[in-house]
Amino acid sequence: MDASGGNRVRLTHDGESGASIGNAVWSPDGSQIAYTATRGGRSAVYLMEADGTAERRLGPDENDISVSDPVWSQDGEWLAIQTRMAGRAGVFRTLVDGGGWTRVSDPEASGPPAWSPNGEWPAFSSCDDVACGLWVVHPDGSGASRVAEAGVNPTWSSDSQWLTTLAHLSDSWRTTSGSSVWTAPIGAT
Amino acid sequence: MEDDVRIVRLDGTDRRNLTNYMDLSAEHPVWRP
Repeated sequence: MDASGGNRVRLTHDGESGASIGNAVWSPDGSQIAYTATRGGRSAVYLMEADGTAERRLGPDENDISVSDPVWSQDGEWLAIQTRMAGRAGVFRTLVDGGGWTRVSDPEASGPPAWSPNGEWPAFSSCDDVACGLWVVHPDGSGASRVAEAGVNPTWSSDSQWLTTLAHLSDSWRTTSGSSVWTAPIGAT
Repeated sequence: MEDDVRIVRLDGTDRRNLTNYMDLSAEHPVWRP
């Protein structure tokens, strides 16, 4: 819809199928929309043109996985997502149509990722029983580095050289989420 | 509740605490563009 609430266009048509749609985000150039959906009991990321055409499923294709919070890289070439998958730990990778999703958070992530403006670093927080640390990693999963021992909700400076963090000293923030962050190149799907 | 807003350089070498208040509850700091 436009800013005044007019010209509304329905882009998904799941009707009474029981599908659950969430977390729709525009690509940086405004030409595409990525969103998460649970259809047929399976959670995945979907991509469509901004007019609702050419919808396709991007996966990941794992069973018992829950996907949320897709975040575009600034150049529109990558998506980072947060997943939850019971009982899975360590580095895990899968391929989708010659491109693929790469799990880049090891250890487990807590909260959605934040992509650096220069596209080089998804940042995420990871919590254990003691505290939440702040990590950065390259989108291919290499170069993972913990840059702060405490912090959640990372945000980037425009020059991609600094991160803000929130250090929560309340025990309620010191929880292990069991989720992870994944990336996939858009052009390869 | 006691929160701190901190910044850290990408390489982790420079970390600064920007707030120092008792009973601070902070959420979602954002950079000016």
